[in-house]
Amino acid sequence: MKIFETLRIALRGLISNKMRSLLTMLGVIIGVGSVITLVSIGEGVKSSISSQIQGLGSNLVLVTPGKGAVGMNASSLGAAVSELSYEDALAVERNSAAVKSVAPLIESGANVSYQGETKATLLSGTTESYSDVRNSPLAAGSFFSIGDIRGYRHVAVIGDTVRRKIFAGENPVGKTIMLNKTEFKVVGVMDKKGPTLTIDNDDRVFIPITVAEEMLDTNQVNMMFIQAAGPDMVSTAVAETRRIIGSRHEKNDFVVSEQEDILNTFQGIMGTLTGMLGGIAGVSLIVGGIGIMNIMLVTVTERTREIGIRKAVGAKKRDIMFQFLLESVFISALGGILGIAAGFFGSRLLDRVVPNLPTVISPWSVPAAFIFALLVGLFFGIYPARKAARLDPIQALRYE
Amino acid sequence: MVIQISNMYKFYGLKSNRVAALQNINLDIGAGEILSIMGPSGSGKSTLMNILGCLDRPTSGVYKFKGRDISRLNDNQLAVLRNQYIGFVFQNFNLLSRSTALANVELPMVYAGVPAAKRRNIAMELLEVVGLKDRMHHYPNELSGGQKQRVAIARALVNHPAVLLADEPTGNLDTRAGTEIIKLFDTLNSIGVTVVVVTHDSDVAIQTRRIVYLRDGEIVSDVSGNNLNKKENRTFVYDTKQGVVEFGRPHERNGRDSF
Ligand SMILES: Nc1ncnc2c1ncn2[C@@H]1O[C@H](COP(=O)(O)OP(=O)(O)OP(=O)(O)O)[C@@H](O)[C@H]1O
Ligand SMILES: [Mg+2]
Repeated sequence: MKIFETLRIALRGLISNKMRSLLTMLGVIIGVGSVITLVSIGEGVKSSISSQIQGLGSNLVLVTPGKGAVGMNASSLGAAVSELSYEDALAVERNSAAVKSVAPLIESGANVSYQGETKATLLSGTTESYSDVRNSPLAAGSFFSIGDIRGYRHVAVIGDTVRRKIFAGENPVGKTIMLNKTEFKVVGVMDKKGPTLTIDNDDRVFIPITVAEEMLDTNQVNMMFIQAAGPDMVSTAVAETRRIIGSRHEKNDFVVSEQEDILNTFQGIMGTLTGMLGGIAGVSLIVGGIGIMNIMLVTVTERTREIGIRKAVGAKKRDIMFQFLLESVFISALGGILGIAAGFFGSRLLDRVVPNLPTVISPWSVPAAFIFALLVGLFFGIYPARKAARLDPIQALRYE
Repeated sequence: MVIQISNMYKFYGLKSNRVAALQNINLDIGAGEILSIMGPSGSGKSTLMNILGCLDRPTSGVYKFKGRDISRLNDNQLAVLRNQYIGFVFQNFNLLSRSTALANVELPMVYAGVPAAKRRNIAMELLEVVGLKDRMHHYPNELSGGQKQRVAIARALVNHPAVLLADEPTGNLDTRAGTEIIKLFDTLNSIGVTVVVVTHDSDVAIQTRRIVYLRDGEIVSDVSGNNLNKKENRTFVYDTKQGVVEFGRPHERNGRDSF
């Protein structure tokens, strides 16, 4: 029998029970929709953090205190006791030809205020090369200079959020702000960087590292950004940094990592996480499949006489099998299509509701979820369809 | 012979519930014959028809259709047989309730692989033959019993069956409509279709050329003659006690007598 004809029969079977078909479909719709939405969250986090890591600057090498895994220690949050110092940074800058410049960071929370407006922010003591190394241009004014560092001058460069919050419209360059009750003159404003998930990269104030050491009474550097002289110098820069800092330290209490390593490690972790999210959502799709099987079994029972009539006038086993299988595959296919729409809608909605959680619909998740839905429909449709196909014609005709 | 049945039994149920619906049935039907099967209610007529129509299998005995032993055919081969060689009119119509009269008539052709347009034309022609052209888009629950019966007859004819099996096709019709149906069967028979009709109506039975009488699952009489219906002054009666079929003359009973 022609496929088209079977499709028509199957379709009519579905249409005759619209509500039930729709409810059955709902399982598949939710399954496919949640696969696509959850994977889009994973992908969104991945791509947003990846671009953040790439946005750190080019040809970057990171030095962090401690022995933790690549890029995965708490130093940047100020939790670990840092053994790195500004002197280490200067030594690397001076002694390695592969290193172009080094930007160490001493970080701490601080209150910044201007004319009565006060705000909590992240204070970073760094060097004049920070702007270059981190590939962060200025929106106004200029970054402080080596002279400011050597002269312990109280100058500051503020991030875009700080500007917005305490300078409402005013040009901050040349103004005097208070940082933890100490006066600083604003010399520059950083370009807006945008947030990473919930972290606001523009809520910062930069001051000369020497001043930070004095003010915070520390010489422990939280991390160092090192820019290699070129793309092919990155590995040399890593090796030389290890050697130079290593010779200055008694213990191996620091970690040197390439931007690439961090990116790869991170993407690996996120890939696994995304896969798990998709897998969990996939389970709901299987539950949807069980729903299809359930309703198909009911349908077969309800239509026993119809099956008997069809067999009596010459339908073969495979005609009946095909008819019911097509019905369940059709439910899952239509559910899959609607589920794709639901997935797109879901991730859009999430973007709206949680703006800091960007979603990216991964191109593979859509066909994968759809094909999985089809397979689920096929798999869970086989048993009811076989049951229908195996009915004895005369028994089926006698069924009340 | 298109149908050969020898020593056939059909039992329903198991052990104490065992019912012998058919016992020791021997029946040969030649190609081109037209015959009626009679008998009281519960005598096994429908059971026999279901087996003849390859819908059911006998418990024991041999059934050969066009020389082929049915017990050796698999489900698919039986499906083809039902589709291509047998037209079946059920006692209770068995129409698809969610399909129109037209779609019901088309159904056997769907499984025969006839293209849609051709299917439609043939189905419409046949509905016209049974006088239901103006009802073809109606659903079975919008049709009278007799109309449903005629749709079922049209459906049984669409694939040009070699054998037409009709289980009380006139049961729901008035005399005039019943006579029309029997005339139609007669016409089909005259072009070579073998026709087997189950009926309670002696007026119908007498129009066929052979009458098989069943009682308690057994064939108690099998009478045939040319132009039974054309004989004048002959009445057809049956005696349920004796299981005797009489055609006017009391001595012609039991067996395949001819006139
Ligand atoms: N599926 C079944 N299970 C058990 N017994 C059955 C079944 N079908 C029929 N019978 C029994 O077999 C016998 C023959 O039934 P059948 O339907 O063939 O009679 P019939 O001659 O067609 O009667 P009617 O004229 O009322 O249609 C009856 O005694 C009936 O009770
Ligand atoms: Mg009957």
